[in-house]
Amino acid sequence: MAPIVLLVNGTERRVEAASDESLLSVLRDRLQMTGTKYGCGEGQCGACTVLIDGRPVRSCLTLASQVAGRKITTIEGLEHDGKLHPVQEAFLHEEAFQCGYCTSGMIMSTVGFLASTPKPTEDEIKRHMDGNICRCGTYPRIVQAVARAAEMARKE
Amino acid sequence: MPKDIAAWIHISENNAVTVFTGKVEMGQNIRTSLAQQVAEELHVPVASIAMIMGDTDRTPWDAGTFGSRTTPTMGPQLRAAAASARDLLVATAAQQWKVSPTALSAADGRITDSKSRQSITYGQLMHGQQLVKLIESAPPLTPVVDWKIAGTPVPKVDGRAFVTGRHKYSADLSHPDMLFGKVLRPSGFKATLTSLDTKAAESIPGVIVVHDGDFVAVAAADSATAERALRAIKAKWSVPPQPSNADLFSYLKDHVTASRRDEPHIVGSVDRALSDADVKLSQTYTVQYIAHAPLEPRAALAEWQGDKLTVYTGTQRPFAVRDELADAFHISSDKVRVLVPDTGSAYGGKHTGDAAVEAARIAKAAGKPVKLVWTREEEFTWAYFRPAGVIDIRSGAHKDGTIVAWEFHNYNSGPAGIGTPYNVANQKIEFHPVDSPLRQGSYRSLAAAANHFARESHMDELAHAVAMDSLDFRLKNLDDDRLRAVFQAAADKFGWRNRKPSATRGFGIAGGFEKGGYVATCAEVEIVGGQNVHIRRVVEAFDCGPVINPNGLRNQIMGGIVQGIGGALFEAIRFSNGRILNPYFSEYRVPRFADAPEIEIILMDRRDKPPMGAGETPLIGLAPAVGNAIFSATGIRLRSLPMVPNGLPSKRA
Amino acid sequence: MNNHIDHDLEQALIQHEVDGRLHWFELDRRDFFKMLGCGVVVCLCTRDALSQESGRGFW
Repeated sequence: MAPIVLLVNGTERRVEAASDESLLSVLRDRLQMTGTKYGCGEGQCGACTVLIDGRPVRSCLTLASQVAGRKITTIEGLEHDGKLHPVQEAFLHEEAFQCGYCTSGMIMSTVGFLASTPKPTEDEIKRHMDGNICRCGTYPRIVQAVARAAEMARKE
Repeated sequence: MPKDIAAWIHISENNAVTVFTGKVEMGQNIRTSLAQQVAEELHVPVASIAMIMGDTDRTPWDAGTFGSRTTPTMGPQLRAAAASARDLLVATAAQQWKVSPTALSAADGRITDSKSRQSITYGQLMHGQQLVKLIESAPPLTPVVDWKIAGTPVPKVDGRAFVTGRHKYSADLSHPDMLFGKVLRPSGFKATLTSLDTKAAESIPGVIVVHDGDFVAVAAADSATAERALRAIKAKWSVPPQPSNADLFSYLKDHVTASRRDEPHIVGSVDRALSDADVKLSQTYTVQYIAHAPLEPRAALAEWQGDKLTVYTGTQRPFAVRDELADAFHISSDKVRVLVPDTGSAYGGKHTGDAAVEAARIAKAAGKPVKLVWTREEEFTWAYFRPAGVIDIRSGAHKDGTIVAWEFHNYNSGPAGIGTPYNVANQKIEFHPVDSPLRQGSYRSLAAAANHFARESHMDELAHAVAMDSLDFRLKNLDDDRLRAVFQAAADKFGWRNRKPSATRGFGIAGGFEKGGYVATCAEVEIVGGQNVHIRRVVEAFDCGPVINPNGLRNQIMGGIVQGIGGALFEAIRFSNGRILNPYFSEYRVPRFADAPEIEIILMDRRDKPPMGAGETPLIGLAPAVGNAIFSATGIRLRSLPMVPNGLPSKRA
Repeated sequence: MNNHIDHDLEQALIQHEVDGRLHWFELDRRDFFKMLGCGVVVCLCTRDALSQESGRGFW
C-alpha cells in the first residue's frame, strides 16, 4: 500500500492503494465512484472507459499509480451544475441503452472520440466504438446518439 | 396474487403514487411500461409514479421476471388494481360531497365535480391512508383504442440515472463495514477438494478465510487484498473425466433421461405419409452451448443482522432467491429479504442466487456485510448455459408444395417452440430430455431459437426441393392469419419479390409464433472475400397485440435481433473435461458495432388483441433467416449453430 | 404460496428451471441433522422429489 494522488474530475484525491492496483478498482472500491463499470478486466468490453488527459482508456488495464497527477475524467465529471454533457443528452434523447450497464463506457468513449473526430462518418463511429460491448444490442441507436452528439457539439 | 388494491398501489398525502411489483427491471423497460399502464388507469401523470420492484419485504410474491410474462400478466394486474383504485377514489369523493359518483371525473391525480367546481387531489382525499378495497372482478378498464399514456413512446422513467452513472447496480452498492469477498473456484466442474493450504492467505492482515466443505472463500477490507489472499491459497482438486465439444452431439443422443419423457405429439402417420410423398428430406441440426454474458456480472451485497439476512443482488427471481437463501442457511424465508436493484441485464441467465448465497456464506463467517462481484471468467464458467441440442427432422411434401409429413425430435435443447405452425396432416414431435454435461438453464426465448432455426431452415430446404419460392411455400401451408400477416408485412418492406441473389448477396426469410407473439424476419447477407458473412439488412415484423411503449418495444426487438446474431454466427462455449476453454470476451465473440446490420422494424400494433411480451420472440427468426440467406448466395446449407464461427466452410453441402 | 401458481406459470417454471445448486455447505449438513424430527426433512424431500419429477435436462 502506498499513497497516490489522483486528479479526478478536477479534484485532487489522495488514496492508499496497492502498487499493482488498477485505476478501475481505485475509482470504484476506494473512491466510491461507481459510475465506471467492471465488465471484463481484459480491456475487451469498454465498460470501464475513462478519459486520461482527454483520451479514452480502459481503466481496468491502467494502473492507478501510472496516472497519478494526470487529468482523469469519469462519467461523474461530465455533468455541470445539473446540465448534462451533449453526449449524455444525445444518449438520453435516442434512448441508446436498455439495461444501461455499458452506457458510462459508451459515453466516455464517445466524448474522447468526438474530441479528436468532430465530424465522424457512420463507419468511423462504428470502427471507433467497436471496442465497447452492448450486450443488449443497442448498437444502431448508439451510432445515432454519437452522430447526434457530434451535431449538437458543432451547433454549440 | 393479493386481491387488495393496497398491496399494489399506495397514494401519499402529497399525491405521490407508489406501485409495488415483484417484477424486476433489467433493461426490458418494464419500470416505464408498467408505470404507463398504471398512469393510464389511475388517471395520474407517469412522473407521479414510483415503482417499487423486486423487494421481497415490500412487493407481492412473484414467481419471477421471465417467459415474456410481465406484459400479459403483471400489466393487466396493475391496470385492474389502478382502475379499481380510481373507482374507490371517485366513490369516496362522492360520499364526502354527497353527490352521485357519475357526476365526478378523475383526471391528473384529482377528482372534480364539474357542477359545483369542487376539486380535490387523490392524496388530500385519502390523507395517505391505505386504499382499502378488493380489486374489482370487472374493473372499468380504459379500452385500448382510448389509451392516451399507454401506447405512447414515454421516455425511460429513470433514463437520466443511467447516462450520469448515478444508477446503483448491485455491484455499486456499499456498506460502511463491508468486506470484499472472493471465492476460490475449483479447477473444473464436479471437482472435489483434495488438499488445501490457507496459511499464507490467513497471515495477510485483515484477511478472513472461509472453508466449508468444497467451498473456500476469502474476505478483506478492500478488493485488492481479497484478490491477493485468494492467490495465496494453495488447493488441489480432483476433477472427473467429462465430455468435450468434440463428442457433444453423440453424447446428447446417448444420454436421454428415461425418467422424464414428455409424451410425443402425434397426428396421423408420418411413416405412411412419407411413403406417398413426392419429396422426402431427412436432416440433422445442432446448436452449441452459449453464454448469456450479461455485461453486469453476478454480484451481491449480503448482511446478517442476528439471524435476519438482507441481500441485494441482480436476479430475475427475487422470491426464489429468497427461498434459495433460506434453504442454504436453514432459516425461514421470512428472515430473508432480497432486493433487486435494476440489473445490468440477464437474458434468462440470472434465475439463480449463486452470488447471493456465496456472499451470505462469507458474511456469516466474517460477521460483517460482504460484497461479492463475479469476474468475467467466473461469469462465463460458473453461471449456466443455453442448452446445446440435436434436432432431427424427417419431412415429406407433394410436388405442389403441400407438406404431408413432419417428424421432429429435439434432444436436450428444450420443447419451447417445438411445434409447427404449418398445416401438416401427419406429425410426430418429441422432446428428449438429456443429462446435460454442462450446467444449463433458461436463455432468452429458451429452445424456441433452436427449434425455429431447425424448422425454418428445413422449410427452406423443402421449398427448394419442390422448386417453390420460400415465402410462397410457407403461405401455402399456413392458415394462421396473424402469422401470415407478419410474413407479408416483412416481405413487402424487405422487397422480397424483387430480390436478386448473387454469389455475394443472399436473401432469406423465416418466422414463427411463440409466447403469444408473431414474428417474421427477412435477412440480407453479403459474402465478403468468399469467406466472411456480413448481415447487411434485417427487416422484422412483430405482432405482440397492442403496443404499450413503441420506443421501448423497438429497442427490445432490435436488441433481440442483434443478440440473435451472436448465436447464429459465432457464439459457442468451448469445453473439455469439466473446463471452459474460452471464458473471456477475447475468446468468446459477442456481437459488436461492426456486426449490427441496418434494422427495420414493423410493429403490427394489434389493438384488438391482448398485449403480449416482447423480450424473446423477436430473436427466433434471425438465425434461420440468415442461414437461408447464406444458402441463397452460396448454395451452402449450414445446419449447425453457430454457423460460421471460423468463416464459411469451403465444401458445399 | 401454491395458490399463486396457475397452470401457465407452472409450465413456465418447469421450462425455465436451472440445473442444481453450485454449493452445498457443511453448514447444511450440520443443521440438517439438527433439524431431523422437526418436519423440515419432509419438506426438503418433497422439494427434491418435485425437482426430480421435472427432470434434469432443464432448459
